[in-house]
Amino acid sequence: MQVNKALLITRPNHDPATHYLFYWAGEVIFMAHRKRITVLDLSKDKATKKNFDSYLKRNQPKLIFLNGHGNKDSILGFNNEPLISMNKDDHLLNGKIIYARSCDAARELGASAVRKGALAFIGYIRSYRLGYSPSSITRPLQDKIAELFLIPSNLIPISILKGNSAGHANSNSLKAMRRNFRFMLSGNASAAQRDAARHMWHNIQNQKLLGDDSAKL
Amino acid sequence: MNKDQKTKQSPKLDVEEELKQLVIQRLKATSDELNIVIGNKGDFTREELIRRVESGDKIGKEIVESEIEFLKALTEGKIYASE
Repeated sequence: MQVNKALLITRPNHDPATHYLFYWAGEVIFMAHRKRITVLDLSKDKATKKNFDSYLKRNQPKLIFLNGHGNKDSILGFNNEPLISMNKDDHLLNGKIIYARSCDAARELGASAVRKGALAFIGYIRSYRLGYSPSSITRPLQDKIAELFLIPSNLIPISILKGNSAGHANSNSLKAMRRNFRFMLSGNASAAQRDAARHMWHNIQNQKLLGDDSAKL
Repeated sequence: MNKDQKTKQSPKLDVEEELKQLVIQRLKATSDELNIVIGNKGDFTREELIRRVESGDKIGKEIVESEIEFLKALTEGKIYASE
């Protein structure tokens, strides 16, 4: 099967969590454009199962970045419509590198996708946590709490776009999370940033790479 | 149930209740300028998290469990492990 050096990204925005992920995923799209990599952007209400399948089959993108809710069996799109489900259509991820910024998906779906030929799957084996400042919700890119979570998370697809392996990307991200975690415990952090440290620790413990850590775009 | 039976059954429950109270007190001390998204379970203010822990529902139990893991990591020095 031929795969293309392209990025397929899903980023619905139907609630506060997806609202933040939607905006912050823009940084990854910017980097892909800079690297002259084709971006297939299923944003907002375009993140449907019909569009996802169509883009996947027609373009065969090698890198897939999924933003949205999820569970151990499925990753969801706009209004929580399942985009990919274990033992139903996870074979469509064959030959791909996937980063799922969603809950629980690495626990069973990720392993199942890798068994069916996905090159690498990075995700979370428990809930994905995101701290944010309620007073910044209308300006998510200026949120000083959310950035501590989302910059290290964005590093996964950005590292892969820069030509690094999935293993290197995951390790870069974990290093950045630990750096931010130490900052959050320091005297330089605000009270709210410090209080969010426990949730960053949760993400550090639960971010996992499955499959071939040498997989590259 | 007589007093002896109560004493035999209670230690685990006592510990669970103590941990729950510890987490509630720690949450009460946190900033109200922080909301937390817990994946597909929703987003929570400090007060909502406290209510969930008090009620002992699924989210409340997850919060207690992860807070205890965090405290253990702090006390065991795991958070200072090398990159």
